[in-house]
Amino acid sequence: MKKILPSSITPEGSRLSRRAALAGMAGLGTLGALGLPTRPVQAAAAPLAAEPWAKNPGLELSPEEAATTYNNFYELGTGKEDPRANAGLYQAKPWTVVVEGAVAKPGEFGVEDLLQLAPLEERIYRLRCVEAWSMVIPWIGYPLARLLDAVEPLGSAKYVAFETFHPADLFPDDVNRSLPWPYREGLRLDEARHDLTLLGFGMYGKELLNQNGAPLRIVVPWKYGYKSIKAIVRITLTEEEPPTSWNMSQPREYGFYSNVNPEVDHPRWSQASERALDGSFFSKRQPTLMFNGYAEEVAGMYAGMDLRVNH
Amino acid sequence: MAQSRIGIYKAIVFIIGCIPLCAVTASLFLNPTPDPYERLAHTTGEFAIRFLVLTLLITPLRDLTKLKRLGAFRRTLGVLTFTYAFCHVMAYMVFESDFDPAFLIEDIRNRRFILFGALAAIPMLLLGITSNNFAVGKLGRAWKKLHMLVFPIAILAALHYLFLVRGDDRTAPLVYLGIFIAMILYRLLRWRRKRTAAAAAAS
Repeated sequence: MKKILPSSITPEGSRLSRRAALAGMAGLGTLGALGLPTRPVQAAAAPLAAEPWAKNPGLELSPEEAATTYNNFYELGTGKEDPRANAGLYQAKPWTVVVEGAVAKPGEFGVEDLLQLAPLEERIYRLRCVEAWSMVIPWIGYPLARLLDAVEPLGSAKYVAFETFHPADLFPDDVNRSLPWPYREGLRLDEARHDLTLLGFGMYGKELLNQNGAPLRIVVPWKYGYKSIKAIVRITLTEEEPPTSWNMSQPREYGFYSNVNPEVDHPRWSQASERALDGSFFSKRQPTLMFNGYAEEVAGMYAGMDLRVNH
Repeated sequence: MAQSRIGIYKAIVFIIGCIPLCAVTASLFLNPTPDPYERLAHTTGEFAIRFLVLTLLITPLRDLTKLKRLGAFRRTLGVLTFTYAFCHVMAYMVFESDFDPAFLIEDIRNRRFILFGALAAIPMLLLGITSNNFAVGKLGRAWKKLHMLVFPIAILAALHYLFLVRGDDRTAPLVYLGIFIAMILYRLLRWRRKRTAAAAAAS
């Protein structure tokens, strides 16, 4: 299996070749054909110490195994269990993040340095996927604002763009063209600086596993999960609203803001309710909360905006 | 191959065809997932469409190989297709809709892939319940006509798949759609050729 480094970013489009016409019939490999997902050995995550957040809610956590085995991370495959199976395809250590654009102090940061930048907190957040399921996760990290403060955004900076590594090299025999790569996400600067927006390094008392976006990701709990980009290699402060991968793929379905909103349905899923993946066999359906339950903290940022238009 | 032997072979094909269903059910306990619905719906849907391809391949394969007895397996494969499609719909009913009529109506009205799934599932149920010797005997010539519905069902099922794909890679549903269109074209050509031959023989 080929390992890639975040630095080995292949220019977009350079590796694309057509799949064999019968690729649709693929997946007929023995275990896959039997519908019996193989159970890969879970990589052991190193412990990561953090102080509990003062505002932690009294929510029951999703089982750790649920959060590490059921993931959306299209670079590692589009099936829910693919990211765990393919987690070994990229190396999260060593890792550097480039922070550039409209900042006074651009730079390249090693993850070890970033871990020292601010005290780590353990924050229990609700996670709501656009696919109408949800979990409750104890993340470890600190507000992204700490990093933004360190690079000193210029007055002209209005947005923050994030980028993940390019997956072109991950599957030597197959082309993964499920999304416009590299995966891109973005936030308005005030959203990025909001105290709830976390720069995450770990969960469940340990460092992140690759399937969860090791070595670092963001966590934006009032937005659909795909906004919380994983395995970040580049952060760019911009003046214009940055393009985002899901929006580029299906603009009608995925807006820039992507705030959790039970009143605005997605063409594929009703957003009025969600299946809480709490480890029970028949997960229970519960109503979805406006801004995923964080309305008190974040609604003010969208005052006067039509949330149906700016979905 | 004696008549009684064919029955045994058909049973063997059916049992082999059920292995993925048993395996995915077992996997829910041996290798649990936080979302059994996702795994069940995904696997049963994938196998329903694979068995549908195999079912529709029997006739051209029979023409090609001149093996008349191959036709006996068409209904077995069709029943397997129905079995997987039925489990697929039941997974949705149990885990997702909870048999709630209001949820179903809302889902069918607002979601194109659910609409096409429902449009494929309803005639499929008709084919499923008439796939026994009693119904075949009872319906006579009408049975064959009724089971022509498999062709529109195949197209609807491929569209159901096409519309549910997220992201930009639609290879798999498009391949299925292409296969089904080719199967229909083949049947149309075959039917025309037969008619011309019959007309020539009559004159």
